[in-house]
Amino acid sequence: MEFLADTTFGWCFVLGEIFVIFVVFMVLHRHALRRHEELTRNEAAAGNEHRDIQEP
Amino acid sequence: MAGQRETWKTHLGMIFAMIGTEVGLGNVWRFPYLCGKYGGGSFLVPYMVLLLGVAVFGMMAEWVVGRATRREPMGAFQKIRFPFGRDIGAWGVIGPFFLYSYYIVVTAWVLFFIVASVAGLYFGTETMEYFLGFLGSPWVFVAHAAAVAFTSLVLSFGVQKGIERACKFMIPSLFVLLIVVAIRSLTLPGAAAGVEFYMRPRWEGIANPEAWLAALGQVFFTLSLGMGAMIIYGSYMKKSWGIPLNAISCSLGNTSASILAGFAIFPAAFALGFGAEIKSEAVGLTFIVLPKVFAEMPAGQLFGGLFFLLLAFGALSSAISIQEPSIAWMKDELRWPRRKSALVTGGILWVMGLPFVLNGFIRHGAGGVPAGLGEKLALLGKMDSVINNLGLPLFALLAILAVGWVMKNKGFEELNRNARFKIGGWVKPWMRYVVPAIFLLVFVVNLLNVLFPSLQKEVLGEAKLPDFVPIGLTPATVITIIVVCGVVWGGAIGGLLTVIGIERRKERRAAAQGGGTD
Repeated sequence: MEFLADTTFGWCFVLGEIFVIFVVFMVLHRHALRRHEELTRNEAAAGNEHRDIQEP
Repeated sequence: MAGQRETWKTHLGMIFAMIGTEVGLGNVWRFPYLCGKYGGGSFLVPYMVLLLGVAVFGMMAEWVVGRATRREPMGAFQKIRFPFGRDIGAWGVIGPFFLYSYYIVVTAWVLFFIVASVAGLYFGTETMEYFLGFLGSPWVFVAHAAAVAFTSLVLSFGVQKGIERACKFMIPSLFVLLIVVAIRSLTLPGAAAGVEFYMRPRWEGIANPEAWLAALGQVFFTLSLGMGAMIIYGSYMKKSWGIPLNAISCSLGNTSASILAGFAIFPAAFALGFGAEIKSEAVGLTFIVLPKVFAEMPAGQLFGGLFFLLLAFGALSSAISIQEPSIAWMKDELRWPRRKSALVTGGILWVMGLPFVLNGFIRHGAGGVPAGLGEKLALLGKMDSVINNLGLPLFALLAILAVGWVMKNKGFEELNRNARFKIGGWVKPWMRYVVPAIFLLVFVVNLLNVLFPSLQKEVLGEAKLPDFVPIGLTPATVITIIVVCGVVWGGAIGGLLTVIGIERRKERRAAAQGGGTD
């Protein structure tokens, strides 16, 4: 476990962790946005169908 | 996007939550140390000038961005159409994530030291050895898990029932405990020497560029700028609440806690013969020197326990605000319920904190010598360098640019919306040019300090604590104390009462007209 105090390891760990979490976060965010858009589209489509049935 | 936005229930609750965000470990160990080092009461001159002239505008800018958009930092930057807003705003969500991962480890130490003080575990031991031993004990895991569980639990209850309720209890309790410990400290025989060290006016400090640089760093971090927390908390503010006076009240409330902390620490340290050991601005003072002071103090178990309890209130309330941006993002963008978001962030943050905990378990440093404090806190120090010194100033700079250069007039209108005390037209050039330039200076200085650690010492010389001969209180110090306490505490209490009075009048007027406030 002594490697935890090593300067080179420390900088690699810190910068690597920041990079990895940033990338994972951005991918997750993009996925969430796409899902959100899909949901909105589906809701709009469902709303249109509903209106068609109500008002033929 | 995410339905009805949560808001603060009461004005007082909002102010306590804001002060809770700002008051943390830095107030208790860093401010008093800098005060003693750079001219006692006269250090307050650069500090107050930079607090009210520069940093408070950074806080207002983050509140404006939050309240105008009603979104977490990522959505907020995107909504105001900041260039690359989504990517830049992402830092306001994940930056605090990293900050929390190590801040909560230090909070865990504080939690353990409440028990250690009450049980007198470090009494009669060499406190440095005790602290190093503690860092390598399983108790750190227990305390770390407890701290993460506590903040996640509070946040799972929401803004009003969680954050606001917890801060309404913790922040007044913190002030009461600070006053109790300060009274104990000030009534010890020989306490005057500590007060003299802490508040003796040394006017040459005002002309010292290093003192201004130190004050700039302190005002910046003490207001928790650049964490994303102020944007989130701003997004929970009601539109009927004015921003400028609230920001000034919160800043002065935060400074009141810092000044009280100095009165709690220095008189006791000098009275019990540890004045010469106060050379450390960080971990050393809190976990190594202060335990020595409590071990020697009459009823030290009680007062040590109370001191670490108040420190825990400050640290936990700050940790809550640091965890909130990621929860708000999950709620807003992933549409997860708050409880699920709190549980998931708590789990991830607990795992992210483990390397810092495990670092304390190393037995040997370079060359096979027993590991010291530097080796056991190596990872934590590096993460702190990147996040605290670089990430936060950069994000705070972007927030002020967002108001001054992207939102422009809409931003300034939002700043003065429903404010009883409006800021005049001079604020536009001030927030567009002067404040961003000073924030950029903070970032550049910190970057140079990270890249070339010895550069500042070479340019400005080796910083040393002033030579100090313990003497009784001088009239100049007494006058300084009266002025400092009058200005800061009077301002904080006056500001608090004014904003509450204004709010009550507005509510009464709205009730009389038959409509509610926002």
